[in-house]
Amino acid sequence: MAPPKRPSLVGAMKAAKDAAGRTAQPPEAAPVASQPSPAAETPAPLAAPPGPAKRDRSLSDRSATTALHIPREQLHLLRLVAVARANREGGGRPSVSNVLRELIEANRAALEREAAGG
Amino acid sequence: MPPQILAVGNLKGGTGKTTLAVNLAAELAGKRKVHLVDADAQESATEWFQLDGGLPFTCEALPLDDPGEAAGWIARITTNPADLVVVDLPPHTGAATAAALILADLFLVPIGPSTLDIRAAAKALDMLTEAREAREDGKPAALLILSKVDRRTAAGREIEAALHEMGEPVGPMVGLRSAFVDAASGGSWIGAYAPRSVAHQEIATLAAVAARILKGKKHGTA
Repeated sequence: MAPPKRPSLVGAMKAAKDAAGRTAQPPEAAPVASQPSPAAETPAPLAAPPGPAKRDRSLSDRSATTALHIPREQLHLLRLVAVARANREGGGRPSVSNVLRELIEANRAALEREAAGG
Repeated sequence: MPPQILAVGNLKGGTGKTTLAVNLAAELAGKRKVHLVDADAQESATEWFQLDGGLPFTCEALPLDDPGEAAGWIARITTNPADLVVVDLPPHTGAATAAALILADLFLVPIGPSTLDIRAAAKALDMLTEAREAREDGKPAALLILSKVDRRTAAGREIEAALHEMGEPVGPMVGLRSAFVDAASGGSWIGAYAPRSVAHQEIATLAAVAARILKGKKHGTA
């Protein structure tokens, strides 16, 4: 004799939904946090994406990819700066690498002095 | 009026469920009040939200492991005052996935470029079929989303073809882009972190298709 068919999980959930519909009040929802900010009904359509940037071959040929181990807060700050600069410059891709490059260039003299033991 | 429900799930981890759920919720919050339910016990979406990057929706962690607690879980979602509840599901065939399929108006299945992802998606679609039979209202609609794909690779192109043979509509793809990771690291979403970027356009396109389906219009790109 075949064993009785075990009700599936989906079937059980359907029964649970029917039961939930019959119950009076559900537990009050308590969101983790709330930042509802529905914008206007019809936001402006997205502008066309910026075209692919021309590859700076001379720069890429002289560059290396690496990883940095820095505090999250510092990385977050660098990202915010990258986003702010990208927005100022027309919405291209934010680049933390560019921010770091510019920071190094701005401090190059002092860094080179230190590297030379000064 | 109960909220509409959009569930994001696949039965495998690493397919981009949370990335898709959070970014879609944020994009859709431009036109409606959105609440994100993090039903995955790993609570990745909740942690993302708690980074306080200004995500434009409300969020709560609401895992469901015990089928005996399903009625309360369901009631909590269906009585939420939002216009739309986005449910980020765990990567397994547990109670949360089954309950979400019973509730959802739309089920999004992100599928990464691997045969393991395709197999997991096939199992999810079996569960989807079972839910439709149980509900008898034809719901939920479903959309397969090619996720984390690099179209420059042969695998990326081939997987897209494979999706079209799975019998459900295929939505706009979402590429493998570092901007998604960068946005998440700061607790933000792609539309705030890199507005008008290609990644943002992909999310906006997918959100438009999802909104159209939720309005009851057919998706025409299957």
